[in-house]
Amino acid sequence: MSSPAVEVDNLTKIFRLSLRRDYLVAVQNLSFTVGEGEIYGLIGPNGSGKSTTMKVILGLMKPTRGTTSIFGLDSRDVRSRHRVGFLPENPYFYKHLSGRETLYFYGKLCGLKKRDLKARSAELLALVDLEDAADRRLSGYSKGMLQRIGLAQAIIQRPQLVILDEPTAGVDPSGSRKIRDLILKLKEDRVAVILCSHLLEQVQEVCDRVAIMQEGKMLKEGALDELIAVEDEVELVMKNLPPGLQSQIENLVRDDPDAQLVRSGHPRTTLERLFLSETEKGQQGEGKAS
Amino acid sequence: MSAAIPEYRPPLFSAQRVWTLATSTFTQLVRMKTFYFLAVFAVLVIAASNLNLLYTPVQQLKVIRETSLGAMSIFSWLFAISATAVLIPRDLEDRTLYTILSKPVPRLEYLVGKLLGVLLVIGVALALMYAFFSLILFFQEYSIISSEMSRMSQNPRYSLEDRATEAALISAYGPDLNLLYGVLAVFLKSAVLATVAMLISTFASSSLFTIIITTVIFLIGHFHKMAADFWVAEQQGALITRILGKVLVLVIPDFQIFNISDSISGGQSVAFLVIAQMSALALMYVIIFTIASWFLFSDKEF
Amino acid sequence: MKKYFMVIALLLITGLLRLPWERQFANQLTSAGLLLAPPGETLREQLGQSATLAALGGLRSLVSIYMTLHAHESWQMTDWETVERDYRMITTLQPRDIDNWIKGGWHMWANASANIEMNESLPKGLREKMRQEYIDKGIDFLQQGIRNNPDTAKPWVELGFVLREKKQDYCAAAEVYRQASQRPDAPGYTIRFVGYMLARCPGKENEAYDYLRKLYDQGEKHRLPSVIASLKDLEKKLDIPLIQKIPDIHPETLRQQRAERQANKLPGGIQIK
Ligand SMILES: Nc1ncnc2c1ncn2[C@@H]1O[C@H](COP(=O)(O)OP(=O)(O)O)[C@@H](O)[C@H]1O
Ligand SMILES: [Mg+2]
Repeated sequence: MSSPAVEVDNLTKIFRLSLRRDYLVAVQNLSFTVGEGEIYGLIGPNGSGKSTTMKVILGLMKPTRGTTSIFGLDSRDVRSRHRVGFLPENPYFYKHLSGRETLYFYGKLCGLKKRDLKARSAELLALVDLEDAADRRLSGYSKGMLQRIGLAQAIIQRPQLVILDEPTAGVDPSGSRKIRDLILKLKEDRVAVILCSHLLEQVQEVCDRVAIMQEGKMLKEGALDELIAVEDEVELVMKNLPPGLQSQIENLVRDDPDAQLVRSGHPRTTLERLFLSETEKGQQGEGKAS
Repeated sequence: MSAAIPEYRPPLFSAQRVWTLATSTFTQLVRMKTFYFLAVFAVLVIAASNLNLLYTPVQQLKVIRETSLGAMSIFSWLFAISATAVLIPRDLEDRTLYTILSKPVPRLEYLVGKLLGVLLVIGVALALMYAFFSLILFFQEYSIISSEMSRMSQNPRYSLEDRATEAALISAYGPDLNLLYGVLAVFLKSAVLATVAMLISTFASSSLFTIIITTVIFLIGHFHKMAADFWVAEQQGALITRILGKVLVLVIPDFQIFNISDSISGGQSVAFLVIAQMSALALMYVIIFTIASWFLFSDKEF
Repeated sequence: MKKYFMVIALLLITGLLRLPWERQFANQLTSAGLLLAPPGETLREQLGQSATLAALGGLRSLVSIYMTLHAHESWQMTDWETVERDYRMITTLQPRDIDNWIKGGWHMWANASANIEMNESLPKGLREKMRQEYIDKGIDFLQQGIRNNPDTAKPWVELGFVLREKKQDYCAAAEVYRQASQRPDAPGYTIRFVGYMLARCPGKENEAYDYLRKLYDQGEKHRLPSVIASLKDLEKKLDIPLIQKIPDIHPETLRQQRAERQANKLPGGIQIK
């Protein structure tokens, strides 16, 4: 039997804000599991507790209540970090190192031997398309290049789990497409990925399962298809519609006794729609409570 | 493939990882152009060797020894405090710490690695400075002895024995093992100082705070003996000051103990046993303060 | 919070354990001459705050180099009071550096005293009085240097020179040279200077004769022109019987030796650059 890649069990994280008795509940009774080789999306507005959850999973913070584990090892055990790679939000690395030296540094921290390290670094530099910049110092890297070298260092020791916190924040569209491709590549290799993002399109494109978080709580979780499929609705997306055809179709629908036109217009990402409706509901609930 | 991995039990403390962190810190500090100080040092030593304030031959050598050891002390204190105070907060600010601690790196290893990196820079810098000023001292010794001998030989008052004695007196201030011990004492003092700075930086809110508090501790550490004599032995003063004095004496290291380089540049010689004992004392301080730092750092959240 | 108390407890307990060792080691260093006592109150006042801190921090040498530079400047401006004060501090900071004592003394007995003598604005009697005072200050430096460094001949040799040349006190100079000659690093000539000084000390002629004669009898090593000349003088003064007299030297040799002697103007082997 093998343990799931990540198990978060009833996690609560409370920050004490000042010396006064002032608290902030960043994460509240959160539970979820990420299976081996699964791509898991965690979405939520800013401040909803995604990063905090990731930090607890990685042992950078201690849970106030509850437990988290990686492949069955408690996050507080330093050995749990052998099989996980992490790309933090807006990462900075040692500016004085070159791209290659950065990979060497993190590889050695993971206990890689010199010989493997050389081959592995070359392989990763090719993978993230930084071969030309490999021997330049990071101080001269663009935001997108930093994210890519960050991704490379996260997977230097071939972890079975990769945690990416807003990997495309501040990266231009072509750069974020490259990162998406890399995530798909990880999926091919059966590496589990947790992707925290507010870029819903991207989550939708790559994730097997998605959770929506707000104010530290999970609003909804499930397989992407189940979440966004609406059984009794059919969506037609058409291109180059000649004028008049749309009103003809609308008339046909109106004439049918059962059929109903829900909405028409330009298509929207379905996940985005779901996200907005869910978080709006959540907001209303909160508003009543307080 | 995945079944084999759970049985893998990696070591809990790895010297290789510590060394990786130390060398990376070393590179970081070197690439921050720290070693430019060496050029300043070289100018100072050369200036000191050309300083002539009606010095006797022995004094001419002594002033080189004094200037060099003094400049080495100042460099290593400033460096020990500021580098240590800046490094850990900077890792935190740049979020580099997240990427390091999310690798299988125990927090103790991180601390030891950083400290070792700072000490490595101090050690290498001191070694280079020592090599440079020994060389200058060697040439000065040679030229002073030869000019002194030729002057004395022109004067019939001086016997061969007089000349030999003078030559021996001068060469007692040339480069020797005692100077190396003096440099080692400078290193030991900065090592203790850096560890104190590390302890402060594990709970300080800013680098400036660390620098100020460490400097204050450093100063108090020099009044140690005076404070000990005054507060601990004497039964006067308010109870609270007496208690505070005792606590300070017990908690703060005695930095005065390491100040033997002054006497060494003045020509005192040191027994190996003394240096061995001093190293043991410094090591003890470093271990105690590292453990204390680890205590605080292991609970820290990022 | 709990952790902070634990850390303080850890430091206190280890402090209690290490304090006896630390103290004993510090005493060991002090008695080996490697650590000096912290600067006293008067010195702290004179040095000022920053220099005191530097001196405490193990930068005594640097502070004293700075003071030496300062004294050097003051000397060029003939500000003798400052020169004296600077050297008092330098010697307090580094009491084991005999050269500092000698240099401070030299500024007093040689430079300051000569400079005062040339000061036309002062009445002659006062000038002479001040000149003597500076010579005495120089002697004081040397005597304190001797007290702090009892094993070296250097300050004795210097003191002998001052007593001889500036004080014309040959009796005291003889005793000082005797002390010098007993130190391991004494220049060879000090042993003969005891005799020369005794010869010039009224009432000590017999002792001088015996002393020099003993040296003479030790062989060629001590049969220098000055020894022979002094012995000749004493033989005349003391009416030594012919049979006991030392043999004459050839007038030509004597002339040659005089010329050699004149080439070294400063007796006592003191090198003043
Ligand atoms: N170290 C901290 N101390 C106090 N509050 C924090 C800390 N880290 C995060 N928070 C707060 O916790 C909440 C969740 O933050 P975060 O996990 O970063 O959200 P997300 O990553 O989803 O944007 C926010 O309100 C944030 O201000
Ligand atoms: Mg975040």
